[in-house]
Amino acid sequence: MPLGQIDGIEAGMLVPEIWNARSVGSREERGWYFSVRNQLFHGTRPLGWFGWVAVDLDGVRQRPSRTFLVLRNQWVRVDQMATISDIYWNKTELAKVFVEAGEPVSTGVHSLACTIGTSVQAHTRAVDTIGLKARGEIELKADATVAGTDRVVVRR
Amino acid sequence: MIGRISLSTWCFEQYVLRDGASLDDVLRMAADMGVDGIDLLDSQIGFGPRPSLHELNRLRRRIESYGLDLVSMWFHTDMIARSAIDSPEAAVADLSEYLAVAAQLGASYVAVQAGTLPPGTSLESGRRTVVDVLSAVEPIAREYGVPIGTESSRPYSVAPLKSPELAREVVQEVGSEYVIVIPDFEAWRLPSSIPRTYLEVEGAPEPIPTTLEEFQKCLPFAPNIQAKFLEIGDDGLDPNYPEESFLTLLSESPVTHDLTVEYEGWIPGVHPERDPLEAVRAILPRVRASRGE
Repeated sequence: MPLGQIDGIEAGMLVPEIWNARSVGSREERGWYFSVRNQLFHGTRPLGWFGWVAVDLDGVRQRPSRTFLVLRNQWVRVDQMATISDIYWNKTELAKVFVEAGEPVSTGVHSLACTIGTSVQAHTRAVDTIGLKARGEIELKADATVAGTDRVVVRR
Repeated sequence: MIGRISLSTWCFEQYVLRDGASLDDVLRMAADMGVDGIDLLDSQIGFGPRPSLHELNRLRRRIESYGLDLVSMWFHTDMIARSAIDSPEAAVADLSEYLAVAAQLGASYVAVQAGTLPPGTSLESGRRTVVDVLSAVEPIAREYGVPIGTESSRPYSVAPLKSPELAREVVQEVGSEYVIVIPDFEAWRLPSSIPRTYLEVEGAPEPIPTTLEEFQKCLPFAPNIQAKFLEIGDDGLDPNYPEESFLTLLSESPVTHDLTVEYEGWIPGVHPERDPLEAVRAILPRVRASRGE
């Protein structure tokens, strides 16, 4: 795409709702999550094609080691996405982004930004582990409201 | 001669991405247009990395239930990149599986892309990779009875490996009816105000459109054509391409060409405000007239 344009339909990708939640699995973690829909052109790709996700809440970058992309109840830490070749984020599929945090997000409106890595590498099944092609990113921003508290998400 | 007229489901992708339209919604739109068939995208055949065999069989029946042929399947590939990142054998394995999927769905053709040259890779090296991969895939295409073609959608001055000239040379070198050229009108785009989505460098020189002579040279190897459209003028023609010349050459060709209409005017930067359904309805009469209807 020409410089500065997203290679997809941006409107509606970032769902402007935050849910405070507990993830219940081998241990219980408190945190919060929001959802992102894959609306990229030819967007069905392995997670390694995207490579990474970054989350900013009210201008504060959330720790990648405590941020997860959740697809079909598969939890992948966002700083470990780069080599994933067998878990796909399918076109139009809604993913959760879960941030582990000790405190819930306060009620009201918050500035939410979700930045997702992309690649110019076109071959669907190839994850560019050698840096062959240029990389890019999509930055999604929204004023998000806290839609609910204390949801439980099962992570097992 | 123009044979079947099909619609690429890409024509209606705006409804899918923006409005949540299902594949059945898209199939219904295509069927309502009265076309002979569709071109299906790889992202529509089920969850990656590999589709369920049962779901493929159900999908085939669904497409048939709408009275549509599956004329072609389109897979997003870059043989050069796959070969460099993993191996040429991995590229061959991917294309082999795509042929199997297409055959299971009853598709007549598979469309793939050669790829673009990574920094430091010579054109000859890239061309050799494409020839080697397609030569290795040819027996698989023959076994499944599904020709595989490189979609040639870029002028040589922009992306030589995606150009019609090079696609034709590769096909001639492989020398099989199961490895074909799939010319895409986009390689012949005329200068206009509509941005080129593949020009990612500001200030890049205007691409030099492929010649009509080259279009004619490709026709003997091109039983499937991707007819890209961006907008429809008052005269019913798309001013971005030498459309009237294309349709004349196709109708006069001794080879039967299945024509896949691919309306792309809905993408951001072109005319996202225009209804794709209306645009496709405006395109089809002109294409049908070239078939003598």
